[in-house]
Amino acid sequence: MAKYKTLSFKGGYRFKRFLCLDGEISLQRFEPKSVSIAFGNMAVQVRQGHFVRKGDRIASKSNSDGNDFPVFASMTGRVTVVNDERVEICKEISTHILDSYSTKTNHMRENILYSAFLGGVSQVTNVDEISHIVISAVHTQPVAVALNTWLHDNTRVCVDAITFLSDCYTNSHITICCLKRDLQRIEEFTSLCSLNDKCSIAVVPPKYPSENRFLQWSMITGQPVSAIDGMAASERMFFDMPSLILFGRALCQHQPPTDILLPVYCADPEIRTIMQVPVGTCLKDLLSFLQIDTQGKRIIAGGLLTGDEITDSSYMLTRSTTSLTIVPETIKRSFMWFLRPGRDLDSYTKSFAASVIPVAKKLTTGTQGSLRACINCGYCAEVCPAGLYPHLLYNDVTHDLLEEALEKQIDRCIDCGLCSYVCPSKIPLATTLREAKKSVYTECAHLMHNRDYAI
Amino acid sequence: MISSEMKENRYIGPIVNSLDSFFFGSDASTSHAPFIHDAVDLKRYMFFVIMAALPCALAGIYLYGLRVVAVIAVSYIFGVGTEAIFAAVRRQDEIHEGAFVTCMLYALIMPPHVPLWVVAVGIVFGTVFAKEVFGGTGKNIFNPAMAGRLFISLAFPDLIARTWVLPLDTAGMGGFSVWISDAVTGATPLTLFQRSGEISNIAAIFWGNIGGCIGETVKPFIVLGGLFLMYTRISNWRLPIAAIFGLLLSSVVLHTIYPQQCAPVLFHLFGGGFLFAAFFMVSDPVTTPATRIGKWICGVMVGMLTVLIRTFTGYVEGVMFAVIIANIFTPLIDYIILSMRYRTARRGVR
Repeated sequence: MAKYKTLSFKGGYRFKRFLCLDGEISLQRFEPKSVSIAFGNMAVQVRQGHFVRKGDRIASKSNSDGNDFPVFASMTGRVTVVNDERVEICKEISTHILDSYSTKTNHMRENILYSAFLGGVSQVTNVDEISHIVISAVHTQPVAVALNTWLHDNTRVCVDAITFLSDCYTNSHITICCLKRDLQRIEEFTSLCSLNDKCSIAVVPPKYPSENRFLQWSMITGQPVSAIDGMAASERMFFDMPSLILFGRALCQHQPPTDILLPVYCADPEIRTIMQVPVGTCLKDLLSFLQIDTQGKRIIAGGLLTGDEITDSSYMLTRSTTSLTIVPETIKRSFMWFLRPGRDLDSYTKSFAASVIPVAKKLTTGTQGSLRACINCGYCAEVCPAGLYPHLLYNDVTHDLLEEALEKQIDRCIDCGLCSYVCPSKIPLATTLREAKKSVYTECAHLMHNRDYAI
Repeated sequence: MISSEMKENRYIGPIVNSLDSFFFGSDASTSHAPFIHDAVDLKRYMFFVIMAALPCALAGIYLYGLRVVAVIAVSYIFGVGTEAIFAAVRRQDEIHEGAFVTCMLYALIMPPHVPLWVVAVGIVFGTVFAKEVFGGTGKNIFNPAMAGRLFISLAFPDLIARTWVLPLDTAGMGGFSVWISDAVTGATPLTLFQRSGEISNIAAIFWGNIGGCIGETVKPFIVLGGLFLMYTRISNWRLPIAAIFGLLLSSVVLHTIYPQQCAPVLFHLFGGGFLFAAFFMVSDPVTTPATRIGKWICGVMVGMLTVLIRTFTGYVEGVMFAVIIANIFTPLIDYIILSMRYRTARRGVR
């Protein structure tokens, strides 16, 4: 087995026996008839009626270096609508011979690089500035894709991508974070990676939220967890497995990455798959392709603990859509439910049979109880990976004591959502703290300079 | 069956809603991330504490007769009744579950022959003045059960002192077939020690063959219930362990210095209500510190104060005062720990 170093953090919670997309799942492709691509505040380079080929640049922001975060067309077709936010491209039925597409443009490799990040570094100006590249191959969420499933078929591609990164960023060190239980199953990958002397493997604890990049950074450097520090940093890059795979494929094909890899889980009908779809695909099209009826179901994009509920079925999938979970909405009331043995119920407390019986856990959107006052049970503080006291912060925030909250280091909250998850009083801690952080940033900005953090 | 009018009624609404959610649960669903929730709620949380105390209650019935059931019932009727009145005044949706635990624990620290009206007075005092006036569930400074018990032992010292009895001759059905044990008045081991310096048999104290409060005498059941709560993470393991540690430490030291005044270690540990208080009262999360170090300090404080009060004051049972004093210090302990923890950060701010 390859050499590795072990990292650890306090707090966190292990979601045992939830759903994991494991084994050899091959990617399922879906080609929609039209896509709609958001381009943010960049300048559009196409007009209505233009023909674009998959991988053509349709928008970019020019700065001194020439390009920064280009937006590429994710399918071949005709531009039908260009408005303030989006470019819509529709597949052409008749074929057109397009101009020869030059793959030897100067900035092609950089273009590929920049567009592969998912929420990584926002402004990369100088290649030499990057000193750390962290590749997160961790899956600790309740609904997750196992690492060997990602690497099935893709080991070579990922190794190529890592080799390219180490060649391109000569001053950087690459750390691959993974779980110990995965190490044996991905021996080919780790042995190939260990050939690269700038690349090292770090084993993180199998607790949620080990995949959080702020937490990974704090574990690697030994510094206290800080979300605000991570936002401004330009010397490090983060990749997760889907973006590494897409990046590697883009390098192999010498085309910008215009697809996303989307793990889809649906409870009824039972669907567990990983979709490869172009950026800008309409959610409605994808769901009808998968034959999922959304009546009475909740669609959650991007993880059960930190994601968003999608109510609008015309939602366009973007690069930051990392997964889709579809959970039935109906919650049944049951007689004397606080006495139930709970074979399939997950809890931080060991008060359910599920803590001793190995049965797969049930996914439900029920709050499992009604809102109560905080009883200071301390579960939130026990699980908080940043070492905060969420219930005390909540108390400060609800009494409008933002400076008190800042003193208790609310700005170090990494939005993992665990405090809300474990709360037996069902207090919406995570949402309240997220809102409060925004107002802290604006109202207490003058207090936030030169802060040292207590560990 | 239950109309929405009944649910929204100001006076019976809390009771109707409580019964509704007690029997049929909740069907609320999450509205924002995280979209899944831990399956434990306060009902189950509190139910587990009651379940852990149940062996002690059954042992109490076995030792002291079926009248114990009446004590528990009176405690529940008046305790939950007071809570319901406050729920109506405060226009709460439901009666909060904490009261059910308070009433159970309160009944278990009653002397077996206590007049029932004293039980009612104590629980009403505890609920009103230790809990509701501070703002109800989660806001109380004092443990309501302990405060009620302390109140009646200070207000009716004679009544309490007269009601100590020795347990029934435990054979066969024991107390399950008798209403009330014969009033063989017997002092508790702690009283005996204070009067004459006589040390009762430790084995008898451990197995509960002594005079004492309803739920406090059979130590194996208390330890069992306490360990169950710690294993299930319902109570924090630090507090009871710290309390026991504090008691052992201070009783070892004091017994070596004052062998006449201070009883030996095991006598302190098993005597009186210390173990019950350590596992069920000190571990009450609301009235103890939020910080981990604070929990250790608070626990050790209870243990030490118990021994100090038992040894150097006229009061026989020190643990009641110890718990209440530790409750008073809880906000201060938390304040000091938190400001020490965040001192470096604050220096940066100023």
